[in-house]
Amino acid sequence: MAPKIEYYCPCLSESPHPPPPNRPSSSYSFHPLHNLFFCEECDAVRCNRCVSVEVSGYYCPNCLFEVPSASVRAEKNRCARNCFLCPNCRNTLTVVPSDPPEDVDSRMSPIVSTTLGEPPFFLYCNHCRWDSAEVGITFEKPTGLAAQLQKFEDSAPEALEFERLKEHFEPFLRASSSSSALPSASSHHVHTNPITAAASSALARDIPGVGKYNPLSRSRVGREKGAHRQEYPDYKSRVEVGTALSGEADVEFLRHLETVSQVAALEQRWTNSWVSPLSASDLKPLRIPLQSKKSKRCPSCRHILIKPEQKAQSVRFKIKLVAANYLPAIAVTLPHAQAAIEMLKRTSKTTSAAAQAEEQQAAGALIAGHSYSFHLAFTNPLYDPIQVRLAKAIAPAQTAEGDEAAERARRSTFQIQLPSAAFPVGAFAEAWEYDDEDEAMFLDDDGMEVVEARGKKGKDGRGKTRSVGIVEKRANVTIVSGEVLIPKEARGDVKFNMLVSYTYRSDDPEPSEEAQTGTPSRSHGANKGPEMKNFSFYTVVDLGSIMYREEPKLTADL
Amino acid sequence: MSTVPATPRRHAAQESMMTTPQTTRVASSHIVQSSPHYPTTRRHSLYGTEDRIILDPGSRIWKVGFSGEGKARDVFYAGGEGGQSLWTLNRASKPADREEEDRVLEAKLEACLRSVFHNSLLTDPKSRKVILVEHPLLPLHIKEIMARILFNNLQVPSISFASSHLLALLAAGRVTGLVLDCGHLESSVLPIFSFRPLYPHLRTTPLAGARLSTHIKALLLMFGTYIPPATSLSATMNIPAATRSTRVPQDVLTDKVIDEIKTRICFVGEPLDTEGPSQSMSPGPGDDLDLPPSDPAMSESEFSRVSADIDSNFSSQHAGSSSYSVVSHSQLAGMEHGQSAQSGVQVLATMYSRHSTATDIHMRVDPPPSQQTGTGRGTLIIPGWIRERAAEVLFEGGDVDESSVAEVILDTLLKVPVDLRKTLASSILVIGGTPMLPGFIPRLQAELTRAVSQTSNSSSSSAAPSRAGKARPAVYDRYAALRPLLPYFAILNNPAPPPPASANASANAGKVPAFTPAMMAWVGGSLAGALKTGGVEVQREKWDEAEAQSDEDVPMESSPPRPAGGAGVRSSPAKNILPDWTRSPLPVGAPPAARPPGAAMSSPSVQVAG
Amino acid sequence: MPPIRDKFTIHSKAVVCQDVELKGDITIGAGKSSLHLRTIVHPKATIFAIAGPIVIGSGCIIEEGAIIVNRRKEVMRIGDDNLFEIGCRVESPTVGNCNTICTRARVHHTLRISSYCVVGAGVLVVPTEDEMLDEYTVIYGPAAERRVWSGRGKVQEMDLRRKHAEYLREMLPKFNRLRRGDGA
Repeated sequence: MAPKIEYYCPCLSESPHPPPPNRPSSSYSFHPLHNLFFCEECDAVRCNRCVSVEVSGYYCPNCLFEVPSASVRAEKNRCARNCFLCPNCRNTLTVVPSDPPEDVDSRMSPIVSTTLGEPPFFLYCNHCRWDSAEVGITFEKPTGLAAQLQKFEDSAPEALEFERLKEHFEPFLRASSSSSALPSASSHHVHTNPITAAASSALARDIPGVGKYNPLSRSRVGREKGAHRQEYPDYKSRVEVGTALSGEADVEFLRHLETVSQVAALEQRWTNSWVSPLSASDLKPLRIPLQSKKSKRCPSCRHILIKPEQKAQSVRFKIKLVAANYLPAIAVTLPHAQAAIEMLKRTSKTTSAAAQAEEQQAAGALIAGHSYSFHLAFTNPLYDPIQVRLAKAIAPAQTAEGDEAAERARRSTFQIQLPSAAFPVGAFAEAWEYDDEDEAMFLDDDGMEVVEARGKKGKDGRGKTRSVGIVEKRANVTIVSGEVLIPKEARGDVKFNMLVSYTYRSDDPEPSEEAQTGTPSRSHGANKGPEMKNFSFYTVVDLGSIMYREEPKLTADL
Repeated sequence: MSTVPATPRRHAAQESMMTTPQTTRVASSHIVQSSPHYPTTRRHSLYGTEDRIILDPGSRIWKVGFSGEGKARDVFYAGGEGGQSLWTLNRASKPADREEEDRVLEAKLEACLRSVFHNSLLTDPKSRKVILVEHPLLPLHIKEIMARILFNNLQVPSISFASSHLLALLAAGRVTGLVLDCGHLESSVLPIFSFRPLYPHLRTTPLAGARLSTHIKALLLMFGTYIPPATSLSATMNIPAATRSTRVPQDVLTDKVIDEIKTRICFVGEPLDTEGPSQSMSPGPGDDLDLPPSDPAMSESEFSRVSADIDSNFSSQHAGSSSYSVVSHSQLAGMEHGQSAQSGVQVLATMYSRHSTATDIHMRVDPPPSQQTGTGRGTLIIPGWIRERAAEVLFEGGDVDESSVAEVILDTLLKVPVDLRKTLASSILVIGGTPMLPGFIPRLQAELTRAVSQTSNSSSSSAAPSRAGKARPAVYDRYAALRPLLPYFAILNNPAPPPPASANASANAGKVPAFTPAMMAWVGGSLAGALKTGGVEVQREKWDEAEAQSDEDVPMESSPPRPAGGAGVRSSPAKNILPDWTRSPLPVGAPPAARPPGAAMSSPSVQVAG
Repeated sequence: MPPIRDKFTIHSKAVVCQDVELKGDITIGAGKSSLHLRTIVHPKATIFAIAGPIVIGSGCIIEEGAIIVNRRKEVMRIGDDNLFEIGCRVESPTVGNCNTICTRARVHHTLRISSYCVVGAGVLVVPTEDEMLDEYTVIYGPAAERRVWSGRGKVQEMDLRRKHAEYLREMLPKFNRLRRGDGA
């Protein structure tokens, strides 16, 4: 696994400090940079777990039709036009006309024109060749299919039964509502309609036993009523389960099953609330669920962070405050792994992809008892140069009693050295995007070589550099190198929290002044001068897991 | 020292809790009262405020949708694609681990709940009231986490909690019944009379979907066959499948595969030995018992590996075989003397396979990661008898802690007041995901009949096959009191009701709407929402208030470690406003049903508090 | 094993591009109806008759990167109007008519294909024992699931295929050198 870095959003925990990185729950607090938002008002990172989401428009992902919100409900969040999903493979279905009558001549003539379709039309899946005629659904005309199907849906048995149930209970609960509106102590009133009263009170409140509101006397009444409760009519089902579908048939069907695919998968039938056939051949086409364009707001100040353009076809945003525009992007690489991969690429061209991946993993492994350098490439998205300072975050107070020892033992298995001095990262300029494209790509692919070419430090291919500091600086990218020392007995993942703080000088103090008001984290920068800003954020750096090659030897020692 | 001031405070809190429901009840009754003022305005715009969101959160599968609709909008695995369950019956014992567990759970629940609103329902949570379909034994800390996320993160205006059993009964159009919910983690039976859930008589058993899954897995490990894919694509010659077939590697049987087997190809066959045939049949297996067939294909070590594995799966089983002693205890009773557990399993397998006509199924499965050669999928051969008989594990009774699904119903019937028994016995409703297995409900009916009608002799041996044996038959005739009810047993949603033996049964068996068992609770929730009722409503203001209050109380709250019914490590004030029947004051609620002494109370409340 | 003797028989109406890898005894465009229908072989397709000869009927389209291999001694017969999409690999001893082998699908030599079958994109079909696909079988998805196609729409599909072939017959020669068989 390639080393990776994720950014911290403090929404899940109360403290501003990140949780220890080794806990499984911690992974939910860290996000890739491109998933994060940045609220200028609060001067804080926001993630998809904490922003509040509003729907700004509904559309069908297939036909990209913007559905007015008025019809969203009636259509049950589904496309009301011609968009259907194959019940079998979930591919989108197309409407096709029937085949022309097959005659022998058409086989012989090279080209028959059947562009004009003839009814009946049916839905057809290009992937698994399912078609709706198999389940008896055909259409007279190729448009407005959903409307043609609507009548079936309206008369769905569960909908009719549901309405009937509602009618059955409605008078019953209405009567009870009038009685329960009275003080519950008025037992004589309850006496007149004890069941309905009980219904409302039970639904309003769960009572152990028969409930504390009912003095014994009243409960006795209830029981008497229960004895001859026929005075309250039983609900007569529209379709009874005993007649709707015979359970025996299902059992017989399963008993003589030939292949698994004859039976519909759970996912294909679990939304059915009405008993439905098990067999896969009875599945009906599904209307495509709508999707929504969402705007997102900061949970604390309610400012909009993301607002998409209304049109379904548009992929642009009216407002887009993403963290990638505010925080430096950090990329982690392990030079020794990269060098090894390069070597592999050169030597073995023919090995299969799977084997190659395996070898790469082996090459990039962190072996216990060694020390490795890693590179952190900072890319500055701001138009001003920034000064970055790194610190390994120590979890504030280890209050967890039980696992503290274990935690510490695990933590101390490896040591991280980061450059202690602040280092500059150049300002972003549009020009960089074009100028250095080649070089940037070159660097991304095999940073090791560039480093070597530049002759900063003499290193061998194994990346045995002892240097901690700036490796390279160009355009708006600065690469610094850190070091990890893994003792022999180390276990687990090399994963640590890193505090990144950066100070930048703003050229146009006007808007940033505005932003500065009431932002506590920037108050540090305020002493140094009005145009200096400071911002810190936490990250987690995951360099990969430790491999033990000398495992047998170690056990022998013990 | 610090506990002294804290204790009265906690009392106060409890008192307020006692009063809280009352106030909410009044509040909600207002709503009910105003219901005539809502004409049928459902149709005209986007969701009206009266449309509530019905959330049925299971440990694995969630069902969500809007009230007033007959069908859930979305159903999904909450624990991710693999279908892992979000929570289990166990919690970590160490406080630190438990806290960590809760954090993970909270993060997962948050993701689920957010996706319900934003991806499944596409609606703004801030204007949507929520009805939470709540299992009576849903652990408090989970309920609390859900409430916290809904109120704080999603800011819903109110949450109503409604009992799943009651809602399901509503969907069946009934107000009285005995509801069996056979879900993933456990099966529970709750008697409901005239809309009143008789919580003290709640009974549960861990025999449910999860147990069925482990059982299927164990059976497949022993009796399934796996044919790996070809070793290379270019090989021109074919090795016949017979020589390549192996035992099933454990890695092949992922949860997903097991789940697919369970939901697609398993079913429940009729009981093997009804009275008459069982006598004629028993000599056959009996012979097998005397001379256990030694299976040369499976070495002793392999067997012990598998059975050890099974033992670990079925943690609470004392003997490996007892989890398989599924058919007839009278037959197996003799076997247990001096027979190894393995051969017992083998005997059962031969007997089942002899009596099963179900076809073997070939299923394509991903080869184990260690053996992936890029040549496609392997084949898993599932014997037909496993498909038919895997669910026997749910009907196998005799264990005190893990009564069978039928026994748990009968136990409940024994607990309820005598004069309710007949009514309840003739209106049993079966809900949950596991009863979706074809044949489950008819089989349950047969098992009920069998368990009740068994003579004292055989029931004694079934109750304690390995123990004293036939020494004290009378003592073990547990269901003698229920025998007069025999003609009245009727399952409301039995798709294939037996010929009715009484007027009651004929009026009830199979007479309810044909909603699927799995969806019943959700449909009931939708119905309750449409009727503008449904459970204790907790308003957001109230929650915020309680939370603000708790912030002041924090130092206090942390010093007394355990509130009366509290289960959580984090003592949150939220508990005081979330409705919870287990913490309702017991003496006041002394129901007419309390004829049998209060012992009934202990088991459910322990479950929740534990 | 004797060295593979190359012998290519390409029907005069068939369109086989120059840049096609052929090996062994291969006949292309041999169908009855070859008067009307042409077999098209795109550049960079590969047809290897390693053990036995390969006979390809008329009206087939073999796209770029498709690989057709005969590993068996007997003749590998491919019928008419089949479509072999980009990057597929077929080793079936027989292929009937009007089949579609989709992109990057791979069919093992243990599978014989009848007619009107579809092997979906990326599907790996490796039966462990010899097997004959029934007509109208559709194999699709990562698990190589199978179902039977009703056959509705097949006339239109064949129509489309013929138009496709007709178009290619016009266009391919404009941009590629064509290959001629030994005999033709």
